[in-house]
Amino acid sequence: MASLNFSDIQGFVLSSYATKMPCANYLLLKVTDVKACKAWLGSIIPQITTGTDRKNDFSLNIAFCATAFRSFGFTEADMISFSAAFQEGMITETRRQIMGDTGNNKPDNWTWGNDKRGVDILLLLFAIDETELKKKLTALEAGILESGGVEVVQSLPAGRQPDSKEHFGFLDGIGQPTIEGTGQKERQLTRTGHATELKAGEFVLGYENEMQKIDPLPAIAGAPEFGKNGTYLVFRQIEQHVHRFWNYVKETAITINAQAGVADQDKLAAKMVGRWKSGAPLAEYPDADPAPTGTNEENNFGFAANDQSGAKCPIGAHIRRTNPRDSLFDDPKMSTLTVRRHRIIRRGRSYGHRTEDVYTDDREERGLHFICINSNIERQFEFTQQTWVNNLNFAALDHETDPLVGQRDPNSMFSIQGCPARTRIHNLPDFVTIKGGAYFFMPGMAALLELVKER
Amino acid sequence: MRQTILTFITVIDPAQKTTLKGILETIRGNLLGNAYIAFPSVTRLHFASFVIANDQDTESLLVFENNFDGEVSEYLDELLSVAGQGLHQIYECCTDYRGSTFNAHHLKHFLLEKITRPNAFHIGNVGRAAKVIKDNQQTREKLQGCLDDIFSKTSPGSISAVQLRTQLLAFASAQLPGSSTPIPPHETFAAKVVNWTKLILFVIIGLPVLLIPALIALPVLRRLEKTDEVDKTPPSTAEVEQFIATENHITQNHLAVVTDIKLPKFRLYLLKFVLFAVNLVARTATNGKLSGIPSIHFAHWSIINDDKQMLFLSNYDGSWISYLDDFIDKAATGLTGIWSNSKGFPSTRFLVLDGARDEVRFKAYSRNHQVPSLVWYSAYRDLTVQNVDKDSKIREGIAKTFSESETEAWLKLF
Repeated sequence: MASLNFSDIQGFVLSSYATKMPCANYLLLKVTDVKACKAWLGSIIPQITTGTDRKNDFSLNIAFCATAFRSFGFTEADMISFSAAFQEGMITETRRQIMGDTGNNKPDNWTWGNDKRGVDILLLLFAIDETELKKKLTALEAGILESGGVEVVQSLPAGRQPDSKEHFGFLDGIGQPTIEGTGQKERQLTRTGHATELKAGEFVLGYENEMQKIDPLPAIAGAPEFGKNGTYLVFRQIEQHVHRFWNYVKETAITINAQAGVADQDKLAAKMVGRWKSGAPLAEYPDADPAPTGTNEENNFGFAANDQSGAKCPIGAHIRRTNPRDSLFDDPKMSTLTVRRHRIIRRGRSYGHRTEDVYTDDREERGLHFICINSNIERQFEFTQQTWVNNLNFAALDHETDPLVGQRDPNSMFSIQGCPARTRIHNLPDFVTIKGGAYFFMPGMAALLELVKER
Repeated sequence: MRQTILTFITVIDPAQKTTLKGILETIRGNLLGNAYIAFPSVTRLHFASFVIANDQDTESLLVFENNFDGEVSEYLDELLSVAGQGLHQIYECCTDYRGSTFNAHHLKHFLLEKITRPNAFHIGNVGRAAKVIKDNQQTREKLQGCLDDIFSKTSPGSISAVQLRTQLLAFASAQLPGSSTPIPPHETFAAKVVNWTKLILFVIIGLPVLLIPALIALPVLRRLEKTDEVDKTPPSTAEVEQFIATENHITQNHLAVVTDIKLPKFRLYLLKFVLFAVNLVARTATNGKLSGIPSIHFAHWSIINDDKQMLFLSNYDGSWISYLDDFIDKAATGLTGIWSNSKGFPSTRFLVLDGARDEVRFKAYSRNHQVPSLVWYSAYRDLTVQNVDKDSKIREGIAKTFSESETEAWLKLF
């Protein structure tokens, strides 16, 4: 087993800080003067939270776009050692095609991360409460202003809802893999009775991954191990149209059954998600939410033995597309093995106020600041998007994408397997819209020091 | 219906290469409606492509890939009746094509002489004719619409499986003429027995006979493997972007890879042997899978260019990256056995070990040796191998008499 160098790994790679630090803010920055920027960076490095810091009140982490590295003087020979997706950035034609960022989701419409409002650096702030967050944010912003080397493009407040539910109303962040060598497995086992432990190399560069290989380690002139203990961070600002989702569910439930009530709506929505609002998986609780007012983090289940046909959890449901577990092929073992090579760790948080009435358009923006970490953007995050979420023929389905977050076309459908045959719902609108995004690299602590050197 | 997989390989006249590329670009620009080849009118055709091998060399090859129903002679008759003039203009750009005016008989004769049959191939849906596949899709789509209609009026809970099937069959007999006539089996039992017999004979007779040569060959192979050079160049981002730009427009994708076979000749013989064995195994593939990979419609390996190179052509479902990952997870041994005889492949041990399991290098190798699919046509653009199979089962189930549990299973196909 790999022994991880925790003091060189940024704390955010190992923890979401969600329990201790529910308040968050993401600062997206643009480099305006390289020398001054490096001086400023040098001044904040001591504040960066590492994997050995046991912080309870405030954490600060940092990540960089390829554009930042280029402006810092990385040559193309340096850049080529990074992931191709990272080098390119999220908005090239190639990446748009892979991710399905077309139509309403096209980068031209984004509020940041596109040509009009590009970003170079991401600062992630986490605090125990809003007071502490404001204090630290004010100080950082003052330092940024004073530096003369970097400016704020966008400041994105985020938070964890007290009940951990995202805006559509579902418990989120349950089925996360754990990293070997971190003790996360034991903690998750205690909490949920189940843990999928993956090799550290899936999430931290420089260690063996699930294929018993080490993903390409970014190397730059003078620092051949620059990438060691770093990771790639994917950021997508996803607006959620809560009223659109629940109105669609309400109307559609009535077309299936004229007498449909709230319970039928909840069931239809659960079929689309694959879990009940409480988090309880449909594969285990097909008929009703076992904890209608509480939470259920059950994660110890598969589909192959119990629900290969999708009668309980539909084959195209969101949680089944994004993590098919043992059901991807007719061989459950092979399926599990394959799926392990394509996992991500989600570290996102909600933004915006929770709506008072899910059926009313209150004209306020709300959504998810989706953040995930992975060692290989193409094999992990992009694969999930392209091959599972937006695949029209996923698992021999026909002309469907993820019912929650999938790319839409004029007649987007979703099949709900059941007896005597599947029902199929039609004309799914966009329940989410991408508002911004970028690929970042989150370096290890030694690499951070390397970064501020003159090149 | 027996399917045939082959390529026509011709040498491009260097003086005509620009013209040829222009024609191929025109075809690609309007794949379904161009004046050269009206692909959709070729009813026997499943997939076709044009690629250029060795484009940078003075002698480049035009590879015309064809995956079709029936025998080559009848296929060529149909193809030339649809696209004779267009193909004439294409082959005017190649050497040893004589004749300044189009003559179907002459062109057919020319093409028959340029056939390269694959050393090994795989077919996802054995024996299903292209026209039948497309008809089955239509039948299924209409039945799906009917099912949606039924459920818009009747709640699923209030109708039994048998009642539901009765309603669907009534719709089929009224609206889908011919859908209840049985279609002939796509693969005969006798053919399966023959294929299995060949494989078993090979294992019980061929392998023991080869034991002694193998024992002699093994140390030779190991010595060569230790000095084989591995291609360590990362693929050019610009080239990969060009490949990706042509991918994922429809359900399937196309992959064409040309590699140089290693020297000494020992490697060529080894490769031929491995392909022979792979081909025997591929003939017994079940459920449309090649070594557990469920997403390949047609794929084949051919030794080309005077035994100097290997050509791999594949028509597969889904993204390139998922296809390569499937290769690594499920078929690393077989494909390492094949490609380890090509120059630059990630380093191997004992022919089949390591190699493709080096994910990053293997993917880089595949991209580095990929050649652009200048023209690529699919006859059923939105069907996976598994979709074709499901559609066939739906269609075949219409004419059958089912028990209650068979009825339930049939309804699950929708």
